[in-house]
Amino acid sequence: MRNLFANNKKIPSFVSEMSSKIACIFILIFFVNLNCISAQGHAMDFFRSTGKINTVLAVVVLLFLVVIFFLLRLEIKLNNLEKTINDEEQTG
Amino acid sequence: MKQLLYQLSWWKYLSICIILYVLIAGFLIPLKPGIYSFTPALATEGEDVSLKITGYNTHFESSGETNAWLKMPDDRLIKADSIVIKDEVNLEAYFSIPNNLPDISNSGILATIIVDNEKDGYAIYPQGFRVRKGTVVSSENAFQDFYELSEIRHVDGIAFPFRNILYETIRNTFFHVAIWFAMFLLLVISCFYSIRYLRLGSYIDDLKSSSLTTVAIYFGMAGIITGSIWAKFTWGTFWTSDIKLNMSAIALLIYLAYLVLRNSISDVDSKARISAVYNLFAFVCLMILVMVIPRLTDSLHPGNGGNPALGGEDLDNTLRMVFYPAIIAYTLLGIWMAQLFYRYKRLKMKIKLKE
Repeated sequence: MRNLFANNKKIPSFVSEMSSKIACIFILIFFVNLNCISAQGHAMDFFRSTGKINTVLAVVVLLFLVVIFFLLRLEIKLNNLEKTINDEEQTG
Repeated sequence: MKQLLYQLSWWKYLSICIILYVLIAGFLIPLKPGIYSFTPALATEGEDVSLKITGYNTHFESSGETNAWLKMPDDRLIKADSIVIKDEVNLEAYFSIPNNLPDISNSGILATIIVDNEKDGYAIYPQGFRVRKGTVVSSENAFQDFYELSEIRHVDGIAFPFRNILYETIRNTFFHVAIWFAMFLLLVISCFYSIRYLRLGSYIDDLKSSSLTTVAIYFGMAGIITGSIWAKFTWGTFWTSDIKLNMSAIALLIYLAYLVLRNSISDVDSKARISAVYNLFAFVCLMILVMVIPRLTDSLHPGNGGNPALGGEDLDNTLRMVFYPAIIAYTLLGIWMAQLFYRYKRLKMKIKLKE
C-alpha cells in the first residue's frame, strides 16, 4: 500500500485540490450560461445561422463535458480514498 | 511517456483513434446540395410562375448549364422555360404550369422542386410546392410536354444527405444517437455481469456490473441533454411531449433509483444481490419503455410511429460510414470509464475487507 501511493503527494494537480463544491459551482455556472444564451434573441440567430452547425458543436461540447464531469467525480472519490489510506498509515 | 504508451490496452487506443475519426469525418464531410427555401409557395394550373430558389452547398454560377424541374406525384417532370442565375446559391426559374395536370384533387397537388447541374448533381425540395386546381378548365396548354426522371443528372461522391429542417444537424447522428446506442451496449454488458454474479456469486462481477451501469447512466443523461439541444433547434422547444422523450426520461429515473438503492443498503451481500436483480429489472423496463412503447404511437423520432428507421434517406451509406464506428468508439470509451470506476471500487473494497 505504501509503495502504491508513495508518489501521490508529488503530483501537482489543480483538479485534485478542487473540492466537490467548486466542481458543482462550475457546472452550475455552465448551465446558467447556457440558459442565458438560449434566452437571448441574437444568440438564437447564432444557433439558427445557416446550416445550424453550431447546434452540432454544442452537442459535442456537452458530450465532452459529461466525460469530464465523470472524471472529476472519480478524481474526488479517489482523493477521499487516498486520504483514508494515508490517515490509516499515520495512525496505525 | 513510454511507460504510458505501454500501459494502455490496445482497445483504448482503438477508441481514441475512432473518436478522432468520427470527429474529423463527422465534421469535414460536406452535405449534399439541397434547396434551402423558395418563394412563392403555391401556384395555380395554367399560371406562369417565377420561382426564387435558394440552394445550399450549390454551385449554380460556377457549374455549367443548370436546369430546374417540377416533379409531379406520378414522377413526370415539368421543365423550367428559362432560368436566371443570380449567384452560387440563388436563382430564379420561370415555369409555365400546364392545365389538366394528372390526378389533381380539389386541394391541389404537392410538387417536388428539383434543380440539377453538372457539378452538384441534383438538389431537391420534396413535396413543398403546391399547385392548385385551375378554375378554367381548358384543353389548351394541356399537360403534354413532360420529361422523365432519367433526365436528371446526378453526381456520385461522399456527402451526407441534405434534409430540410435538419440541415447540418444531421451530423448529430454520430453524437446524440450513437451515445444512446453505446448506452444500450454498456447496459447489455452490465446485465451479463449481473447474471454472472447471481449464478457464481463473485463480488468482482457485481462491481463490474454496477460500474458499467453508472457509466451508462452518464451516457443516458448526455443523450437526454444533447437530444434536448437538438430538439430546440429543429423541433422548436427543449422538451416536446414526444413519447420517446418522456419514456426515456422515465427509464433514466428507474436507473437513478438503482444508484439510490445501491447506496442505501450497507450490507455487502444483500446490496450486491438486490442491485443485480434490480439491474435486470431496470433493463427490461428500459427495453419496453424506449424500444417498444414509442413504436406503437406517433413519434417525432425516426423508427417510431411508422417513421422509417436506419434506412431510406435518414441513414444512408455515408452516414453509416461514420455512425457505426461512432457507436463502437463510445462503447469502448464507456468500458474504459467503467474500468477506471471498477478499479476504484475494488480498491475501496479491499481496504474495507482489511479493516
